[in-house]
Amino acid sequence: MRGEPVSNGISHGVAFLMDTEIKIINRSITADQIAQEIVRFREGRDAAAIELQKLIEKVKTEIGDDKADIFEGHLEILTSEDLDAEIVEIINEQKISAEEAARIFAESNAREMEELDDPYFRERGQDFRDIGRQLIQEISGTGNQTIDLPEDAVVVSNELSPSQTAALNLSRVRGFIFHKGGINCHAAIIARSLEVPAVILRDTDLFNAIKDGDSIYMDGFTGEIWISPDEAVINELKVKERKNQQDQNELLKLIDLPSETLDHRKIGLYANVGGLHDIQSAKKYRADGIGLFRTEFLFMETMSCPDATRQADVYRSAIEAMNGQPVLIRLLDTGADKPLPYWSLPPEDNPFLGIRGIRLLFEKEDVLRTQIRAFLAASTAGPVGMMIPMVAALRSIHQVKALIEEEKAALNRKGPDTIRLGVMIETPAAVQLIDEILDIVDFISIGTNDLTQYLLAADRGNSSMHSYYDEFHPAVFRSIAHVIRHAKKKEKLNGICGELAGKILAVPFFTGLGVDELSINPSQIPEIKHLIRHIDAREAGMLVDEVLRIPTSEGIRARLTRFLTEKALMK
Amino acid sequence: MVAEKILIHNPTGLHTRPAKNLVGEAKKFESDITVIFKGKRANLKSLIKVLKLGISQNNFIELLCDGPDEQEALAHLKNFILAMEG
Repeated sequence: MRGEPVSNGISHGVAFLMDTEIKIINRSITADQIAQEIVRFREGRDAAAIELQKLIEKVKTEIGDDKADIFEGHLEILTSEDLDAEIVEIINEQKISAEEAARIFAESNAREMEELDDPYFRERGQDFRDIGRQLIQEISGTGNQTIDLPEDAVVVSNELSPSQTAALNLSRVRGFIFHKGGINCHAAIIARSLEVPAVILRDTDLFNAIKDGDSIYMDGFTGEIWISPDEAVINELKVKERKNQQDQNELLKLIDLPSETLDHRKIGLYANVGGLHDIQSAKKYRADGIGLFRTEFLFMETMSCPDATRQADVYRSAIEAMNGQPVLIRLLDTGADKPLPYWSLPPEDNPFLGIRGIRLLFEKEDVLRTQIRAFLAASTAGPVGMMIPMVAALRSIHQVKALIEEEKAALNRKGPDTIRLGVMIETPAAVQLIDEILDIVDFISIGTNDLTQYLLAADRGNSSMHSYYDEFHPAVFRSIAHVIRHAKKKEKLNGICGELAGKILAVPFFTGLGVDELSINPSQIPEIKHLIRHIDAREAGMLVDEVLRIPTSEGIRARLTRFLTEKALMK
Repeated sequence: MVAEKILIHNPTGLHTRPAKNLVGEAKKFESDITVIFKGKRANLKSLIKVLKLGISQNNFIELLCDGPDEQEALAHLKNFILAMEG
């Protein structure tokens, strides 16, 4: 059978039929049940918001930051006053259950959006249905059912909403077959970023012919699907797959080569991860270490802080998986701008300049102590770095050190430290204090996202600041050079995390600086490695001196573009 | 009551994120703020209602401010819309 191919690749697996229909028992309620129904709706809404926040973290770490935008939009709508007012009104007026009210809300808004001219807005109709579905699940308590995917699953579903797709155990998915949707439906986009085939089978009889557990072969280049095909077909597919593999091998060859310049200067390519699921990916792309382990996801698994045992298990597994390579774990980095669902923080006028990162941990000292205990327990497994976020004064570092000592004493831990302590350089103050900071820590990592917004006084979440928030600003580049040069002089491990670390245009600059490591999304490693391997470190060093004299972002971009273009490294 | 026609010039129009920012700005004012587009009216303090207007780049909208701080509201929102990027 043949459908429309929407994501390339050849694979086979076991059909897993997913029922995505939501069944609502329509029941009317009496006037005195209205208040209770409104409470059910609001509790469900709050639970759905938490699930969405978790999903956003998962998507950011497993698929990529830009793919999370859609869910951030969902969260905006879900938590808006409008949604609250509209659903409460429906319950009040129609005297129906919270689930039914959510369905009516979603459906009527979706229909209205779908009547608009602009295709962007028409697609938002699907978003309302997805939001409605998540709401209904949480209100009725049928959410949170983790779907137990078999290994090597070909997911067969009528259609999959963005949140349903992203919530799957994606590492087990070998392919998707849908009945509805299009090339740009979110499920197809996710399939492409996962590099698994996806086909849309619009013919109902063909679609219904696939049964749970069928052995499926699929060719995402042509859209062909076979159920338990004969030997000949399998062999033909194997040949095609081999050819496909050969192309991939070019990339794989690169994976096994070291990340070093033409003149053999090593630039470590580390991975940013959000949890154990990403470590696989870091290993797959042969990351030289973990440069940024975000612990926020770990704190969102449940509605309370994970205890020391749970944390230590996760940290230890990461350390063991990386097998002696450095693992730099950042202390919990939250604040009013990205709150944990179960911490009610007082709203701040200016959350980016408020209680976030280590400042918040000092306010919640028991949480900080628990995290330190988890580090101490895990540190027996191998080298681990503890990274302090949002440092603007030496005092914060001294305070963390004192707490580590106290917790060590409480555990009766003696002997040399197995925890290496580091600081995120993300405030202008930390840049200015870099010499003194380096004297009291083992490593530093520049967080370019926050450093840029603080240096340039431009909120990166504010869309009207778009032209002011520029990572290629000379102030950012000069600060980075200042920090890395000092760290090299003092022979302390230094790195760059944040989005700039993975920007192709910035690679020659970082290479010229001779930074120890760039921490990037694992899937970016081959591409960045390819660049580094075609750059001469001495030549890039001269480029750095030149770039540091350029007074404008445009000038810096132009110079870096020219450098890459001359080497035919610009795509 | 004060009113003014404004051209939406940012490439994405009033998509979810810019719309959310604009709604946030509107909420800072006490006045009733209404946006009129293609004959349809919506409360600018309501994200969902604004989204449902489907306002894209190069559309003209009319802003209506009515209340104690209507002058400031109109001036501020006009500037905010003109400065929108993305």
